[in-house]
Amino acid sequence: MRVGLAATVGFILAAAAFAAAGREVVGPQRIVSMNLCADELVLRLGAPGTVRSVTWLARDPSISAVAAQARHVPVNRGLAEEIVPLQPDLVVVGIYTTRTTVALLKRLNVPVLELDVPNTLPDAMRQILQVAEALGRSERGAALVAEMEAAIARVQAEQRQAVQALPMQRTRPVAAVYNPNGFTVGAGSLVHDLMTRAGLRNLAAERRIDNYGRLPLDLLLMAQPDLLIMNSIADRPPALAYEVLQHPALRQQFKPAQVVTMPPAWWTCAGPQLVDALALLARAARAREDATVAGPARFAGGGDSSAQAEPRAPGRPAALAADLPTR
Amino acid sequence: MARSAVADVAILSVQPPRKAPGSAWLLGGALATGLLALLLVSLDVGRAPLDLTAAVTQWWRGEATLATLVLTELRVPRALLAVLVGASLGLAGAALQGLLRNPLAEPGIVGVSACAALGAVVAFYSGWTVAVPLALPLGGMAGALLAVLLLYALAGRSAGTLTLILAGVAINGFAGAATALALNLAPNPYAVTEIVFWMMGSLSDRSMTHVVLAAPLIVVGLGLLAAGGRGLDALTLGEEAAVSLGVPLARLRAQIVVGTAFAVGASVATVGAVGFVGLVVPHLLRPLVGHQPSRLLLPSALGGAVLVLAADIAVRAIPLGAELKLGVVTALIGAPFFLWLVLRLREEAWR
Amino acid sequence: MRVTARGITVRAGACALLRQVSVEAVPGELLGLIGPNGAGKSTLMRILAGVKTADEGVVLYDGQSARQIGRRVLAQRLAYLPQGGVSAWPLRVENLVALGRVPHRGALGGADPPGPAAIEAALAAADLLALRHRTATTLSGGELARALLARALAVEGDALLADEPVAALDPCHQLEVMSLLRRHADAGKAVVVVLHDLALAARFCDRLVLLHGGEVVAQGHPDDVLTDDWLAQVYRVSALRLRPDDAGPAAVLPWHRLPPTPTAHQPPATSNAL
Repeated sequence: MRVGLAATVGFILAAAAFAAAGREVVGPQRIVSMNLCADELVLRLGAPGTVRSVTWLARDPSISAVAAQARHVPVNRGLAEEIVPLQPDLVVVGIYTTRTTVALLKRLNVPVLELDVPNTLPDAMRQILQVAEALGRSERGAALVAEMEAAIARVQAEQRQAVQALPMQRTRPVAAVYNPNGFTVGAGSLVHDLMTRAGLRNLAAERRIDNYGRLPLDLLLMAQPDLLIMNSIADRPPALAYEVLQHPALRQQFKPAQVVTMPPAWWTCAGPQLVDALALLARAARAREDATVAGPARFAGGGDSSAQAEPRAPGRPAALAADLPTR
Repeated sequence: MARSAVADVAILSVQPPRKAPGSAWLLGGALATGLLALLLVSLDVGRAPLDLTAAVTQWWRGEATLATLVLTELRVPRALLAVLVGASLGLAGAALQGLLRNPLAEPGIVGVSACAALGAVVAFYSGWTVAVPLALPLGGMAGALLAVLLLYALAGRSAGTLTLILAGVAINGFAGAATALALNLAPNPYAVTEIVFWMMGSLSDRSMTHVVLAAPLIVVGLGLLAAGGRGLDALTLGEEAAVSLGVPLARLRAQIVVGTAFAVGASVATVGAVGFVGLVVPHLLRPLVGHQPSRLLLPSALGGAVLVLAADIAVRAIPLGAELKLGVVTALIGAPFFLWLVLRLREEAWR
Repeated sequence: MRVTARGITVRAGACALLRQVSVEAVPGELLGLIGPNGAGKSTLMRILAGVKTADEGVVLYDGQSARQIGRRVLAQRLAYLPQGGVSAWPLRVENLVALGRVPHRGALGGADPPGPAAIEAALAAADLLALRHRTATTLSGGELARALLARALAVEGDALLADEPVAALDPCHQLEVMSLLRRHADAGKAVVVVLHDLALAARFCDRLVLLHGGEVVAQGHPDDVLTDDWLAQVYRVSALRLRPDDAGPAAVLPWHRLPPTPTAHQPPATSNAL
């Protein structure tokens, strides 16, 4: 009789323990990502072993901030045939990912999370939290965002110190982003937000170029911006798109100290690397504000070497981006 | 029924020679003046406003200002390249027409430009150009040479119009497909969309580097083509009579072929394939020089330069949001012109 | 200029267009090349003009080969008028005739002082002065033929080789051109002309060369070549002969067709003086 009572109590306790454990939220266990920025988020936020596939772009250190982590995860090329056999319980895509593939996944009742393109730094941090929640890793997300906010606070503190050290307030320097094919980045984009927070004026925004538009070379020269922000140029397969970036007129007009080389991986996707981009821009802005230019060396972010082709710029029509997963 | 090329020439050249021979100088002078005027306009036009007189005076004094930078690094290379490319296309068109004795022969129609673009694409996207910058115009020249040799193989020496056009269709088709394939397989994802440049041509943002690279080869090609005037005149009477007049036929053919390869190959490699210049310009100028092939050469070169320069000015002056391609403008002029020529040939066939 | 061809053989695949042909054109003589269609007359003309190379045999110009003389000098001294010539471009007649001065013009359009006079003379000789401003493509067949002949005359060479220059002309102009060629020969040039018209050949030529099947079957004075035997054998015609005046040349008019005979194609021994 006493044994039976002990067994019953034990059973009830065990059942309660199981029930309690069952109430803990268990996130998706087979996560697949079909978009570079989604890759970065799931690799940073996902629990180990839950990420089953990311895009092949994630392994390219010149455009991906999580190249190291991606090496241990299988890659896909955005084809439904690769995704479906993995039997994912969550597929994270961008709003410009191939529409037909996404439609097919939805028809097969695969849970799909579509990520928009964040236009501001707060948007990016909100996206991190959103993805963390979808992955069932809210605490991880919150921790990451907290780190970023702390880092941003440090950068802004440095800015304030530098401003106080100057005898007088100078006007904010004008910067122009110059990408392959002469494209620049205007207002309403993440790049613009970072530039503004770093204390720079965006030439494209002042010329009323929205989002991604073309800046003719002679206009760029005549506008005489203080800073020229370009992506790291290193070994990459030749394309006509890069020719304008090497035009002799640019070399003659802009001294090395006026050129900021930004690794594309730093400001393409939401993630902690955005703070590195902000810090680089802030340093460059401060240098231009000083009466003397600080040092002959160019302002370069890390990852100058082994840069591969850039992903197509966000904001382009989906038809053009058919062969690359975009943001 | 196949008609001889001579009959087609007669149909297409119904206008009798208008002016006396002395006016060849007048024509040349008029074209040269027009060219200089357009050069000045070309230097002035652009997206950014430039005070041309100020820029020139500053440059003359050796001052390095923003205006002189835009002038010397952007406007001047663009204008020079337009002149060189236009002269190449015009002169090559006139020379090919003289050699093949058919007024429809033209680097674009017979596939020379498309093959030159193929050669340049292979040289560029394979990375050879990084190691050897000269590889780009050389690739264009190799492609152009291949095209003319193919043309001879397909169309024979004195090609009837139908055969010539068909050969051109075949070569253009081959070159277009091969170029698309090369771009598709190129390691750089930008490559696929850059086919528009190679097919339609553009002068925007070319630098002095391009000019320095292409100019010597273009000039050599122009020289070879211009020197063939005497032989082309004699060819009017047919190959046998030409040989009896002392024209070294095989050498003349090689001269025109190689000259075309140099001039058109280097031009297309730098600027992309621009069509119809070699068709429209010689056709318009031919009656003014008495239909004589040797007298057509220099005016065609000048006329081609004028046409391309004018088209490039139009590209910049027309206020469209997106950037017009040079080849689009020349095609808008040339394609209807070509259609009109074909219609005239067809009308005559029914008589 | 004396043009000598010795042992010329030209093959096209298996068959021979010309077989061991030897002819000579001497200055002051109007030499007529006659023979039925396909006999090889035009081929022989091309060989003599240096436009085509023979598989065997030599052609000498005043004792020198073409290579020894040099292409340019040969072009200045020998004029060739191909059969059935065309003008690829609608040039004015005077510019078409001016093309004959190309050998004298020099590589980059150098000056040619005797040019204009030569062109005028050629236009006058071919009776084209009234047509000088007309476009070549608006000319009739005969007028174009005269224009092309004038072009050959404009070369002012020492030898003139004309392949059927009178085929498209009306009788008046036929006689005019033959008289012109006669005068040309009398002036000391060597003139070779391919003719189909036996009457003209008999009347104007100093010597005839009769070609048949790629071989020279008869050479010599028209009276010796245009015999009934040869006419029957080679042309399969019989002719009327008239002698308008006793001292002048005979008029040979092909009058009847003869039926083909089995032994018609055996050429007898040739009277080949060379």
